[in-house]
Amino acid sequence: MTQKALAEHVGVTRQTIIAIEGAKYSPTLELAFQIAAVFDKPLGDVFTYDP
Amino acid sequence: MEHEERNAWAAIIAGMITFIYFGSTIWTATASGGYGGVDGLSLWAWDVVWLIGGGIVVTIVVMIAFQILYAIVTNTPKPSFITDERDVTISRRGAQITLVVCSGGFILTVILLAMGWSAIAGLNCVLVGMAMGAFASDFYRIAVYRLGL
Repeated sequence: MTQKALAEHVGVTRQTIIAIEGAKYSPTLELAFQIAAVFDKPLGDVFTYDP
Repeated sequence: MEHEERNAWAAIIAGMITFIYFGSTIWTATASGGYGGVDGLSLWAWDVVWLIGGGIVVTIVVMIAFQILYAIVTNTPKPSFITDERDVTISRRGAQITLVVCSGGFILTVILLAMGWSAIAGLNCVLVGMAMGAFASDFYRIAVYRLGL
């Protein structure tokens, strides 16, 4: 899936998806769940917490 | 370039036009003693009312022109107008920066007034502080969008 397609699925800009991928932006829980739902995966499989 | 970044660029351009044009008008009037009479404060206030109104008009015109130019230059007939949670977060931090700079301008004004500067000079200082606050916020937003901070 392209960044643009994912962005359109969850209603954010492509820049936001790029920032999340680059670990420069932490999404809200709501957006994180939406992204996980797009891939039909549990949240923990898509995001990891790196303190 | 997304919608809010385009808005930030447009805000900087509009801010510079407003600041240079109206700023020079008020500066010239201040330097030439145009606000020196009994009704000096009232005259200054009217000029600032025009500045605020003019600033709003300039901002609207520049933002529309910028969106049209962006669509033409990048050959994007239907550019995105999405504002998402990251934009809101960046905008909120920008507002905090504006508040800090404006507060600094106000504190500086109080110090200058305490040192004997005139009320008009103090009010101009507040005005410049607010303009600098807006610029600081817009440049911060551009930096975040461009550098991905």
